[in-house]
Amino acid sequence: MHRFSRLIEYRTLLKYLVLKDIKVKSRGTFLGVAWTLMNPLITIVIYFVVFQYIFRVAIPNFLAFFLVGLLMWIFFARAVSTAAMCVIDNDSLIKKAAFPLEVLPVASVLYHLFHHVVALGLAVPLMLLFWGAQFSWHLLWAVVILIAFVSFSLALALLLATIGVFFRDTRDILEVGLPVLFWATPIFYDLSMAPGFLRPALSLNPLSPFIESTRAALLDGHGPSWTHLGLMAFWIAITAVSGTWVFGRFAHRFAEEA
Amino acid sequence: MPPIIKCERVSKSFVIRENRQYLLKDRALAMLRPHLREHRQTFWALRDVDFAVERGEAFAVIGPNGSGKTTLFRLISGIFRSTTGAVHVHGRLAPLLALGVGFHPELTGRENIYLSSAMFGFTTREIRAAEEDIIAFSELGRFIDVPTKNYSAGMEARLGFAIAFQVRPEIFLIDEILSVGDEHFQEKCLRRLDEDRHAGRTFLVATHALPFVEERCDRAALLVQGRIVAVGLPKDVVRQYRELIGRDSRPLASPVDA
Repeated sequence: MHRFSRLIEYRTLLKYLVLKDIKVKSRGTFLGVAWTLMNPLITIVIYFVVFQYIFRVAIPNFLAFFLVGLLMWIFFARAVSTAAMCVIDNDSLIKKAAFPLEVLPVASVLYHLFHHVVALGLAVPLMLLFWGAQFSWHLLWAVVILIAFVSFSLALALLLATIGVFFRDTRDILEVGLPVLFWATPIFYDLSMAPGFLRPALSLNPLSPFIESTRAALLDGHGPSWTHLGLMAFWIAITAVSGTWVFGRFAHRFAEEA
Repeated sequence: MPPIIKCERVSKSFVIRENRQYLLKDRALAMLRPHLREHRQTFWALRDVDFAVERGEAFAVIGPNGSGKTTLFRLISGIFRSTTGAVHVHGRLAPLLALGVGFHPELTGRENIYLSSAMFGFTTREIRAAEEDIIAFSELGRFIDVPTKNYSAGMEARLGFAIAFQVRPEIFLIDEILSVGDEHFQEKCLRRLDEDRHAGRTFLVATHALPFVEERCDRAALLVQGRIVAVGLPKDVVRQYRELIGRDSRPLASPVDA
């Protein structure tokens, strides 16, 4: 709780760190922030063409179906890989300035959340108008689950930021691990489509309940199942406790080790 | 009233590692092959440092390069944690361990004012109130809206100073940053420093500028190889330091070590 209050005290720093990243990214470019959206946009088109017209998947509203998962994935993958390196990348700064170090991983997540919200702002209206999303009060669930998903990513960011300081190959491990996790995440499929022998392993993926229940709220117009609610709460609790504990335990050594 | 800064038998050790194992892979290999294991050596950067700074005092820490001044200042500002002993600080402290902390070269001078000031814990409103004073003090004029990557080192230092002086904490912790800028700007900084001293602010300064210590400080401490070997009136401590340097016939430390 003490750490949390220090974050509130330094909320201005958080704001300017996120603004810096957004400005630096877009300064001197012709399309600015749009570049960060261009990459997912092209990925989306390619996946859509391959799965819809070559594999001819039978999932109704396939575009909206995989878009939900893919956008959430892109936010998650970018946020955790940036967070894992955020302390190392600011090594000279943390030796000179005394501020609560948790602003660094939190700023990394918020920076990517900004792009995620922009992407959702473009995609969700299209899904509702053309791509078969359901307009209902269950859309509020999508907002609640987004907040839960961001909390989960924040907690994981604290954990990975700490690990990244002490093991410099965290970047390489993520580079190998994230693509594996990508295909183990229900982005192009639903867990119910997976064969029985794979299903237990796939349901261990913490991303599954977040993605599947967002999809349920947007596309099927119903709230999350109790199983999904329980799983989400479980993963948030596990990562929040371990993330804040590990970060709090080791943060005082970051300036020496980085 | 207790001293505003108090160090009680403060020691700080660093572990020096040969075969530093930054990678998880290396740690795994080392379990199989003993000769790959880390060789650890403990290096004591500070040993039993014991001193107190009174409110309103200007206290100088002098000593050769590598004697532990920067480590001491990082401990007092909370960037490092002491291995043994305790550091007590009773007041709002601004560590000025470098100029332009947190500057991003792509941002303009004005944008960097906001980012850098936020690192000291200021809110947007407080920064906005100080913005014009900072710009005036820096004498950068219209260059304030130019990205700092186009600044000369001197211009960047001026802006860094202008921000640092605007912080106006109870305790200034200044690590060898006073010897930058042209003569006119240096004089201006010293005038500002005197003003702050009259306002009752406390200064803890690490410097190689011995005339500054003799003319402007109330007390001084001599730090040699991590131990305080003398505390007292500046002229006495400076004399001891000069004798020490003379005896070792080592080249004089350079006036600026960042």
